[in-house]
Order: sequence, then C-alpha cells, then structure tokens
Amino acid sequence: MKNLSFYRVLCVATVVLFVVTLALEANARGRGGGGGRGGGMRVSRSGPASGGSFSSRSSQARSTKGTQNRSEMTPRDTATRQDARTDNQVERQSSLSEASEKSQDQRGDRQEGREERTEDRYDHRDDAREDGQDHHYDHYHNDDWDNWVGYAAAGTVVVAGAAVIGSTISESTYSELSCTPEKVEVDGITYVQCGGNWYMPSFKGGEVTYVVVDPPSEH
Amino acid sequence: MRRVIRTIISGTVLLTALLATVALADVKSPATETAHSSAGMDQLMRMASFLAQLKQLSVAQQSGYDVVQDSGQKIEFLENRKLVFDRPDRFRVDAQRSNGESYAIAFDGQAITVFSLTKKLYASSKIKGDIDSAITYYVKDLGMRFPLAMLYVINLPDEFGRRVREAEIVETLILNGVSYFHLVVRADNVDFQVLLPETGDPLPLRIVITYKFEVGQPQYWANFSNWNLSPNPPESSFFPNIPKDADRIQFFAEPPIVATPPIGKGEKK
Repeated sequence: MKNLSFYRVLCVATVVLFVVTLALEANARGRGGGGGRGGGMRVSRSGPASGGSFSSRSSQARSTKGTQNRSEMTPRDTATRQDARTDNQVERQSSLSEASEKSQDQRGDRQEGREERTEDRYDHRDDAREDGQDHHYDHYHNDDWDNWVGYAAAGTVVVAGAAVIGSTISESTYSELSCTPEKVEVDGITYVQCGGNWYMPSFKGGEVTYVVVDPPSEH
Repeated sequence: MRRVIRTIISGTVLLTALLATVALADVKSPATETAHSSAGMDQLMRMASFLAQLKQLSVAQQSGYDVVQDSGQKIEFLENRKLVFDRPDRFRVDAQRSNGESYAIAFDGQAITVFSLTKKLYASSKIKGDIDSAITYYVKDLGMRFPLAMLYVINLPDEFGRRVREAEIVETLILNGVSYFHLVVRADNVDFQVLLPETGDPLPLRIVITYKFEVGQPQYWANFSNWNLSPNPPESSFFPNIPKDADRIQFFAEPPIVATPPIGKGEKK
C-alpha cells in the first residue's frame, strides 16, 4: 500500500516537473533568450552607455548621489524642488488641457472630418510623445542636461500588428511588417502607409521609430 | 625592583611613541591624498579650460560602448565620428556606426539638422544661438544622441566643477614616446578616466566612462586623434547637402511641423 502511494506521488511529481519545464522554456523563447524570435537573436544597440554622457539616469545613482552639495540640501530645498516638479506637472497638464480645449473649440467652430482626423493624429502623437517624455522627466528637471535617456524611450512601446494609434514600433519591427510600405508626403513630412495602417517615421534617440497615426488629411 | 620599574616606564614611553607615530601617519595620509586629488583636478580643469577657449577645432573620435542585453550578455558596438566646431555657432558631426549606418549632424546657427545617409531620412529643427544652446537642445529637448556632448560646450569647466567629486593622477604612462597623465575621476553617478598629455596642449587621448550604477556597469570609451585647432572649415560644411530623394521626417520629441520646412530637398543653403 505504501509502495502504491509512493508511485502515485512520483508520477504526479514527474508530471509537474515536466509542465514547469515546458512553461520555463516557453517563457525563455518568448523573451528571445533562446535565440530570439524568427530564428534570429534580437540585439539591442542602445543602453545607458551608448549616449556617452557624463551622468547616468540610474535610480540607484540618484538615490546615492547626494554627496557634498546635494547632501547639504535642506528639507526646504527638497520641498522647493518638489514644488517645482509639481508646478511643472500642473503647468504641463494645464497647457495640455488648454490645447485640448482650443482644439475642441476649433472643432466645434469649423473643423470638418478631415481636419479632425489631423488633430486626432497629432493628439495621438502628442500622447505618445508625452509617454516618452515621462521617461525623460528627471532628465528634464535635473542639471545633468547631457543625461541622455533616449535608449529608454526608444524601447518603451513596441507593437507589432496591433496598430494602436499613438503607439510606436521600432525599426526592426517595422522592417518585419508583412505589408509593403508606401511613402506619402504631407506638408513636407513623410508618412508611410502599410496595409491599413499609417506610420509617421521620426528620429527618436539615435534611431528611427515609427509612430502609428491616423491617415493624414486627403487620405 | 628599580630595574623593573625602569623597564615598565621605558616600555610605556616606547609604546606611546609608537602609537603617536601611527596616529600621525593616519592624519598625514588624507592630506597627501588631497594634494594628489588636487593635482588630478588641476589637470582635468586644465583640459576643460583649454577646450572651452578654442575658437575652432576638429577631431576624430573612435569610440565604443557596451550594451547589456536582456539576457545579461554584454555587447560592444563601435562608432567613428569626425567633429568640426567653429565657435560660436557652427558645428558638424559625421558619424559611422559599426552596423554601417552613416549619418551627419549639422548646426548653422539657425537650425540643427540630422541626416541619415544610409536611410536617406533627415529632420531639422530651428534653434538660434550658439553651439552650447544647440547641443543642449539637441540632447535635452530633442532627446537625440550626442556622445561626449559635454566635452564640446564652452561651459565645460563649470560642468566639471559642479559634477566632479574627486580626480587623481594614478600614473604617468608613455605611449609612442609621449608622456600621459592617467586621470581617474569620480562624479556623482559615473566614474571616468582620461589620458592627458603631460606637456603641451591638454587635449585628451582617451576617455573611458563607467556607468557604475547601471546594470552590468557598461562603459563608453573614445580614442581621440587628429586634433586640429585651426581646421578653417568651409562655411558650406555646416549646411547639410540633402539629396533630392531624401525624405524629411520629424524629431519624435518635437511638436508637429505644419509649416514649410526650413530646408528644402536638394536645397543647399
């Protein structure tokens, strides 16, 4: 009887181990750890050192860098910095709201479908940019202006096939699109149509990235 | 008995003298270190002040940087750059990455333009002012990459003065018959090393930056060569010659442009 229980436990343990192994392997493949998707290794060319700056955005660095001048910061200094940060956020939000109101007024006054689409396109792009700038936030509000963090923003959103307006795709993802891209110039700026999706290529960090946008006017 | 007392007293005196010597040595070492640090800082600031006062310069910068992959593997990528500065308000950078991609950055006092020769894409943004304003705008506001940007601004002495906590000369080495100071510098969140000639113009031969708080402690390094302090670049070199078949795109961080582009295709200012 004891032997029977032992074999049952052994069987269950073997099955569990097998399932866990499969799950781990699937996870590793999903992360590209086992050679990457599509048979090729996905290599990132950007990182904290690629900017060659004399500072770093590391949170650990920020928490430990209070030597001398900064360690002498009083609570008041800290509060002032926090206030400035909050003010900036409020300012940013209020300017966004104003811009939004303005654009809504304009829409209410005279804009037709075509112009609305243009506005929407820019709004979406602004959203994407805002997302990127959130990553830049400390960079914008500290004194280390050369603290380049483009590598962080460049890898923030990668959407393949989903084509969510306002999202961005990396150049490598763009090159893997199954459709044939067609360039279209609007107001001197180049857009790309691929399948049913429209993209606005732009320089972001050291790379070209593609923002998913609504069709530009006249399209 | 007297002999014992004498021995005890002698021993006590000797021990006290010994302890005092050790204590004095302890007090002396920070002073020595400070003097050494000052020499290192002096050399660093000598370099910074010299670079900041140059009217013109051109230099070749062979560089590399580590990128720590998600897997933890560290990969080094290379890049060659040629930089030309004509202060106060002109510069141009021509770069080639190890993947074969070539691009140029040009500032003419009115606008900064980046052009990917390989992809035939370019973007331009208006920024009036001097080189410092343009570089700061390019890196900080446009979020674009400009390795060692700080080295080329006239505010460099102030930047080093504010950021550097400690600089030392660890050794003097001779390379190709030239004697160089090996400076090791500690800033708030990076460490860096500089090879600086002991005599003559304090132009760096090599800079290595270590991002000590980042995962894997990646490094950026650059070897400098062909320093020229009077390259007399032609004015045309600061205006990018954009080919007709190149496409204009935007900087991601820049508000959308709806007006006529400042630089037209095939137009050479």
